[in-house]
Amino acid sequence: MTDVAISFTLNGKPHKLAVAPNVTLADLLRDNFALTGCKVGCDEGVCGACTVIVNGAPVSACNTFAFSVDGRSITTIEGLAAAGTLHRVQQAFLDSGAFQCGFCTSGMILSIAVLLAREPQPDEATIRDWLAGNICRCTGYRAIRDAIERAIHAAPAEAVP
Amino acid sequence: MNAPVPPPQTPPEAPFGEARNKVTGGAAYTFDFTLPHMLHGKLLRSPLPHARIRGIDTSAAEQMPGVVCIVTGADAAALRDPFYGVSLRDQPVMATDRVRYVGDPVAAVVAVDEATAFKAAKAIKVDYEPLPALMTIDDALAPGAVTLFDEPTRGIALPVGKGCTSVADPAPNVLYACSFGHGDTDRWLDQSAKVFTDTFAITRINHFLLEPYVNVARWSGDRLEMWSCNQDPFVLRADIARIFGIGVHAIRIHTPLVGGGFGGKSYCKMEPLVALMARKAGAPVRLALSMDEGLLTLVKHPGRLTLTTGVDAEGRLTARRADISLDGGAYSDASAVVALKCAFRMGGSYRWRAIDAKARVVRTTTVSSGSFRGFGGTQGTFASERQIDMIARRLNDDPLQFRERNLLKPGEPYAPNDSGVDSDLAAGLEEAAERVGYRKPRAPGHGIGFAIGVKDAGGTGNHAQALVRVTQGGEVMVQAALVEIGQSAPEAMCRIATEALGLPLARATYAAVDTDHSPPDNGTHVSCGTLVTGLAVEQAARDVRRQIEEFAARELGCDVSEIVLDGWEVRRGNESYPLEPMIRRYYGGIGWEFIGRGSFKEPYFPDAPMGARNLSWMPCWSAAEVSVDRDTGQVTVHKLVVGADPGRALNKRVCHGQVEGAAIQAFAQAMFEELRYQGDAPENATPLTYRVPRYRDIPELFESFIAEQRLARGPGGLKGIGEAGMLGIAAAIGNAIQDATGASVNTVPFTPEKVLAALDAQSAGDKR
Amino acid sequence: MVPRMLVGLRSRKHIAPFELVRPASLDAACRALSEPGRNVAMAGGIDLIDRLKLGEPVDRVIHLAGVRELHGIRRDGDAISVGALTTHAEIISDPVLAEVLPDWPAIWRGVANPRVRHAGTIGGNLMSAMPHYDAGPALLALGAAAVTADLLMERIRIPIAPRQRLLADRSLHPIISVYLGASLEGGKIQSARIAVGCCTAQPAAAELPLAGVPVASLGADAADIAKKAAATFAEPMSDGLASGAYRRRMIEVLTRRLLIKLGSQP
Repeated sequence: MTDVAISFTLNGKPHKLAVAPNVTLADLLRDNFALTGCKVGCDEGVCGACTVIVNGAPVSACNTFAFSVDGRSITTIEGLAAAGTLHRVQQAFLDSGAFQCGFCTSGMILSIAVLLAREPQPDEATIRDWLAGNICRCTGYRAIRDAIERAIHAAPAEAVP
Repeated sequence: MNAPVPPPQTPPEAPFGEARNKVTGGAAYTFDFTLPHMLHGKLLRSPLPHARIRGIDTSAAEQMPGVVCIVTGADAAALRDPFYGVSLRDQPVMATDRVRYVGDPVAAVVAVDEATAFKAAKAIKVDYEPLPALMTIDDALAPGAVTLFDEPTRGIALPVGKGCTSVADPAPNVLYACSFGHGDTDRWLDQSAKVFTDTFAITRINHFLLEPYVNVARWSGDRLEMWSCNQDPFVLRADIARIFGIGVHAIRIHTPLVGGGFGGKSYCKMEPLVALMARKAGAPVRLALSMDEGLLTLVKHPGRLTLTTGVDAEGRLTARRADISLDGGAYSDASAVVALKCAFRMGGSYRWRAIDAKARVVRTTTVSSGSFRGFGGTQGTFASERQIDMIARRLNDDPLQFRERNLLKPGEPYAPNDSGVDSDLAAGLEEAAERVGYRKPRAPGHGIGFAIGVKDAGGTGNHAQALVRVTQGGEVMVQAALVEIGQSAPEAMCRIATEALGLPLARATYAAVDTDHSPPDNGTHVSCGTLVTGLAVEQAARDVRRQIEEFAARELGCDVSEIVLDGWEVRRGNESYPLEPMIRRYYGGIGWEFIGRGSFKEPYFPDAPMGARNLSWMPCWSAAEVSVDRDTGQVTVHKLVVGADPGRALNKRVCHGQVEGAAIQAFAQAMFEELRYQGDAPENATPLTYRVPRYRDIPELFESFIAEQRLARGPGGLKGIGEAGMLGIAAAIGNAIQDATGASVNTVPFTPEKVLAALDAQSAGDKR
Repeated sequence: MVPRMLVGLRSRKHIAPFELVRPASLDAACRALSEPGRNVAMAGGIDLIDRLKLGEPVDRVIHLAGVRELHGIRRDGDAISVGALTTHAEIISDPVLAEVLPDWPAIWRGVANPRVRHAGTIGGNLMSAMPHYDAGPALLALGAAAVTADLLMERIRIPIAPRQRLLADRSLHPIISVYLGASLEGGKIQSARIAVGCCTAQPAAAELPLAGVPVASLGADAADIAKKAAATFAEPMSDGLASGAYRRRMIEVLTRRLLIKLGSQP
């Protein structure tokens, strides 16, 4: 198996690596970079716990090969805060208590961050379509919806890198 | 939702404990834990529902480069007592002579990485002799059916109190039978003005744990150290000690944050196997199950419940007979306790002259049923609250009034010699009715239904201990075994401690759960933590407070009655004395830590039905507004209201979260969620095909209410509510369907096809 | 076939090692796929990676992202040509589709989830042929045809009419989904088709005998048309979600509703 050379930006920093083609982005992040905020829940791209942002779009890291991030920019939950200041979605999650066990939370926050970057005032139908890919087994989602409402009303969006 | 509930009135608090880590990716779960040079395990599982293992050939697998060892039933059989289960233990650490469900582990590979372990697992040859499958309760009980176990079940049937029976292996393929009763049910039913018999059925659901089962084990000489996602570290420790025949102190268990529990990570599971793998390998081993495997590890008991209920001429409930058959799957897990509690909970929220509830656990060649939030209460409340509603309607009585007439009042014992109900059930029901708009005119085609569920909480004769440590700077650390599974246990314990000390919450830390350091408890389940461990923490906090006051009094040369602890100072008359300098002056150097100790134990009481009085009662009031599409049978829940009583809320937002989370699990089971079998094999045991609720599935209007009725015995009048939201949701929806259409649907989930069939039957009935 | 439960595991750690091939042209892609050995084509990777996680051995993964011929949505005579590598997100936001087939993007917004919509492709969706996937019935309802090059799907061609409608009822998905495609001109139906998903291994479609029928009259005749159309479909499957009989009944119910809807909002 021939390794593939890739270069990419990860949470604002450039990197160059050679990766085996069969390695997923989830394992690249967790094993090579110790970014364990990306959780692997279902390992089938269904639950959304492994959501990370690649070139501004949400992807399932467990269902994405590492080689496909060549030339791209990745943001994980660890990179969402800017210089110690939480992203407004992170802050809203804290203020609303929008998590319980926390295992889905990284993916949930990143998904919502992308939504609000694209649509600062999403309607309910848009939120429903958007959150279809993030499962939370603990909260029943009401507190998460609460956090989205807080985030919408908070300060103007930071651009998602 | 179209009208999201506005953020709670309380302003956002400073996040506590691991909260910030959970939103920044810093939260550490067992899933994230690694040790240098650790090896990786994978399990080979049975493709057959029932078979004898004639032989296992691991030679090819063992030769593969990178394979360190393979563990089979032969290794497990060499253990002192290689079986686990709650009270009744029949589940082997690894299958020895038989497999009993599709997914039953038969071998465990340990290798340098997971890829190698997979390859090796596929190279293991197992020689199976298929046996007949028992896929349903009826299959298992059919005359001449093959028996799943040839030997009597190890362990002792649960000890029970007055009016209850508890028997292991009462019949072929019946693991356990139990009963709860009081009064003369036959006589009261005979004397009743009307008697109604109805049957209900409920299907199996899985916990769908986002953090699947994962454990890391390492031996140092004869000492085992484990990092485990298990909710009950001391229960686990005791089990491993028994299984391996080693002392409890030869075992150390660390419990990081748990990514979802709901009872699925309670009690012993595959942890002893991981320990065995590590011992055989002579190196640390990590075994991480996939979510697919999690779907085939444990489920909630499906079952059938037949209720015969009498009412007198005034619409008062007289007696109930309940006949419950729970499908226990292949192995016992917590089935005995679930069955006993299911029978016990058949009284629901009502006053009875007599009750006779019998439950049995039938063995089938399916995934083991065991501990799942609600724990027999979910099943029992569904049946009970559907029937109560049906009875009211048959009597042309208003379902709300019928219930109110029969509800237990605060303080009234749930059963003879048991504690009084510590909630105002009628008040909560009234609030649910208000919130759902019961008295307003119905929208055309809409129906409203309620349910009120009650379950005992706090466990049977439960105990916990705690330490509260306070440094010279007034920083507080609480040490207990209560595990954070998302219910904010650390915050609850720290609030109780800091309340008793009069210190700010921000100065408190909850210590890591580590069986070498945390004082023991019975486990994080049965919604006991806030109350039972809370009482222990409160006592420990009072103890340490007294120590601080006595120290200060000695230093000030006065009597302890002359001083008051006020923040991190003591006041004596008009003078204030900061504590830190006082402590440093005496202790010097790095200062000092006062350590307070507390404990709680509810004594056993053989006259109480469960063998101890129940610590608290956990009601759930729910109401649903639905409409039914008469051409498709699809049910739309427009509004769902759920309420619970925590006695006193330590954190209202957390209480709402617990109730809502449970309610949506129950809602899903009512509407669509089920783990299905197609013939011998599971049909939808994958994350893609096992449907759990997403945000878009939540009812348009979904609200919870927290009624702090302040009747409970925990610190400041609190008690637990973790499971409350499971109770009665399915019945509320079923009752609403009947209110909307007149049709009775008594099998969960209420799929469109089932509802349409009920509507068809009703039309056909109408035409006769 | 070895039952999946033999190992019981689907895992990203189980993905077999493979050689990655990244062709830049359709020709090169086809050649790579026909090399000796076990070769698979990868579009968005969603279904492929899911399959590979079962440990399926593979020698070469032919990554199609760089194959220019497979991208793009454009007019092609009397049809719209949609490249096989068009993602669901691109379908939702494409201006050409929005003009010519305005219903399709609106329906597609609710399909799957944002991650699948971003990475998943229309070609991949069709080639995976999962019974509950939507591209099959949607495109059948539109009377689309696939253009293939050897083993690869190259593009979809969708005939366009002066007014092309696509209506869907996914309210019972994944038990059943029904798509109604209708080409209209001057208030009359040129051609119409019903396609059903989730009911059979492959999605099925039926022509509706409505040529020349005024759209406004659909409401009155909907029940009859739906009944006849439903009868032409093969027996739907029975599984744990629903019986074949229920599905068959719903083909009729949902078809009737879509016809009424089309009749009231042409």
